[in-house]
Amino acid sequence: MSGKRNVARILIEELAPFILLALVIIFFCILLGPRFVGAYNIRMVTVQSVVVMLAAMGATAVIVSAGIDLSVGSTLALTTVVISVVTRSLMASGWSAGLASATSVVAGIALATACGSLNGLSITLLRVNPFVTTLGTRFMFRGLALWIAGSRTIETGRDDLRFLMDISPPEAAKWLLVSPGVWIALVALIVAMVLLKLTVFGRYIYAVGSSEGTARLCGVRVGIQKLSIYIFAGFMAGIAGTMLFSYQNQGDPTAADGKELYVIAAAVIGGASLSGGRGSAIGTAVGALFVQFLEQGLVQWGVADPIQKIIVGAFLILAVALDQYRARRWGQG
Amino acid sequence: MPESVPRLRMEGVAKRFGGIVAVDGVGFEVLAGEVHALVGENGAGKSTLMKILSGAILPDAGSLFLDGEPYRPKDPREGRARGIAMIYQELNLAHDLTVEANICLGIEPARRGFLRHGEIRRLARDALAELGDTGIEPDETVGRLGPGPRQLVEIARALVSRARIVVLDEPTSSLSAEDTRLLFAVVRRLAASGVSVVYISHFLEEVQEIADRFTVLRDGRVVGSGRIAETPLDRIIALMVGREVQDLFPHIPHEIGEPILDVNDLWGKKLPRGAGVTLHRGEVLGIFGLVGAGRTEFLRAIYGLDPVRSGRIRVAGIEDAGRLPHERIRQGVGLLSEDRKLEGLAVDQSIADNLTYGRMEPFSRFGVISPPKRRRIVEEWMARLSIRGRGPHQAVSALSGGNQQKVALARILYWEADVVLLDEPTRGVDVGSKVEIYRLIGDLAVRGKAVVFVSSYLPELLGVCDRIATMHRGELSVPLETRATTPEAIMALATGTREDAA
Repeated sequence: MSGKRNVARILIEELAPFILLALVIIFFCILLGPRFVGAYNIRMVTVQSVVVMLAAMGATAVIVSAGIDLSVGSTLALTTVVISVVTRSLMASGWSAGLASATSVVAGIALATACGSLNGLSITLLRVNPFVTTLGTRFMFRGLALWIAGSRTIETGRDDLRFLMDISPPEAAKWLLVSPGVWIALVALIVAMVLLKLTVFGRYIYAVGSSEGTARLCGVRVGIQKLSIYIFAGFMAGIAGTMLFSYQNQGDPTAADGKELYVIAAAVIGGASLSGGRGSAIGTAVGALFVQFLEQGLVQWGVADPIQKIIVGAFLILAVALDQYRARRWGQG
Repeated sequence: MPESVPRLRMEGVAKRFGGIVAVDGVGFEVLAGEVHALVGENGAGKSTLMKILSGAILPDAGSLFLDGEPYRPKDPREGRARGIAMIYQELNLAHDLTVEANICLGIEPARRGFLRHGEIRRLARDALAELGDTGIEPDETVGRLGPGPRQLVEIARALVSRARIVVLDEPTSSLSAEDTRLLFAVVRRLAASGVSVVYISHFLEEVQEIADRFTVLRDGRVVGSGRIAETPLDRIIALMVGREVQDLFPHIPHEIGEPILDVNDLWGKKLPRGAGVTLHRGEVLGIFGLVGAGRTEFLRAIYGLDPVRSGRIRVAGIEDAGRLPHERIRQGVGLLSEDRKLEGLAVDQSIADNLTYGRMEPFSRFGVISPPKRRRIVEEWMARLSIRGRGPHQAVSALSGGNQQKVALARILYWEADVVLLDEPTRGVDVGSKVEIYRLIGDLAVRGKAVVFVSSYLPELLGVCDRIATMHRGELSVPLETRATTPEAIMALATGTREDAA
């Protein structure tokens, strides 16, 4: 009997986010007809979830380590601004469009990574807790983006990066089936899964989040560990910001305001615990898709924006409540 | 003043959780105005029995009588109303409120919804006065009090709600000697005024000092009870563990080799104060002392978890190989923390993770883990220490205390540490696992490892260690050969009475 219960337990534990995702898709299929899972719709929803999903890969590591990152949205905006400003100025000094774009992407990701380092340094050296640190840098990075951009959106006049986030893959690469951005997100997901589950570094992220004292006792240099986690989160936000730039095709210092909350919601729906030690990359990815499918379904059903927000919020609470129930019923882990 | 009708009588009380029998046909009597010690190993059923008394758990069978009247509380609220006061290790106080506000919390006298501050103050002061001279100010904020006075505030609260039975659960485990004395004085006053006290403790020496009678629980049954004054301590221990004391400590002959750890004049931030010792291969060194004497700090300073002000530490003759934990691990030093839940184990992670923290090289390449290799290693260690669990992937929190401790120990063995520092390794562990841990320590010595065994329980040190040093106010005594010493001599060193005599 306990064997059967075990299997049920493992299934529910591992598959809970998938079940939730399947339910929402089935629900809207019944409601809206099979076009909800048609090729176009799938392409659109997956493209729209790319930015949150990429940023959430870094945020999962942060949350598993018992941290939090509220500065993600600002970092995304900053990245788009840097990419467009750098592209413009390089092209003004005679660089070719392709080279200018590539260099600007590197610059954008580098600055986002620097933002992550700043978070990490404040948390480890100044010993300001992650919530307050990233609340502060949330303002700082947004301010920096506005300052660099002169509080305006910045067009590059080109669309060299646009193909990354087109809803359909480019003509030359039809075999991709979905947008290149989706493939990038998929690669990031696999990297994050391996990082968290299968590397020494990843196991220590869980250790730090679950019991910092134990990590320290076992020779983990907790400060370095945390710093690295926030650098990784910044790097992932940089990639996500690049995708956001590609999607909007402009630098927008006001973009992605509040996006960090979607990122956190994705991780939590995917089974991460804000008190640390629990969470997975695949869960977070499914959580991100869940929110996107839910929103898209509601849009197509004709539900007004305010009501959508209410429903998404309610589902967030529901997901955590289910998780708590599971924990009480079957015990931790 | 024993009366004919006992304050509390329990008859045939039974409770199971799923398939596990927690208490089974327990009869338990507490007289009015007595201090009754309830002793037993962890898992013996003490807390279940007390939860039944408080109303937190409904028994499956049996009946309870309070002063002769049937008593069957539905919930803790009813228990409190009938005069049962539970005082747990984790106290239920509002840290930001004053002492008097806490004493009257939940029972504030009020008129038409407005608090009557004068009345609150009077009640609180009366209750504090009943405790005797405790030096607690009623308008002090509770958060500023130490653990001892906080406990007294809880007792005062029990008095205000007219408690007939006060249950103290391991009350001294975090108290200094001075606070313990103060607590004992209060307990005696309570008993003298007719309140019954149920005193739960692991420290039998304390039980001997404070209690009138005792009841021993083992595996959910009462295995003995009687008057403390008429019962030797050995007898109580034998009842608790279900066997004679000498069988507990398997003696494994081992040889003492060359020095491996040399600590000289080590000063921590506060503790230790100039402690030094030389430890040899194949040696088990006990460190005895009261809680707060600096034993834990001594081990942590050696291991690099706490900053060191001055002093020299040499492992295997080398001094300059770094003193941080990750460097100590490389040098072959391992520490078992006294605080298993906070520092010893990441309890919501798996056995496999917890066992291999600190050393993942054997199953990883370029930082990437090979799960099958890891699984093999972990299964091997689980078998070697007979860790009973569902498998490497089970969360540590689902294991019993004894098996949890074995995971923490297995980790140090897996590190292949030559110097094994054990801080209260048998705390919160069932007797079976205790014996296994003693045997493990013996095995380590046989294999030429050096062990430092810190404990507050002298009999186990006498049973297992080659030499025993005592720590008193941060200073470490010269170790005594266990064979050539007596418990009294060690106790005198630990409490500093010998110094006073000299």
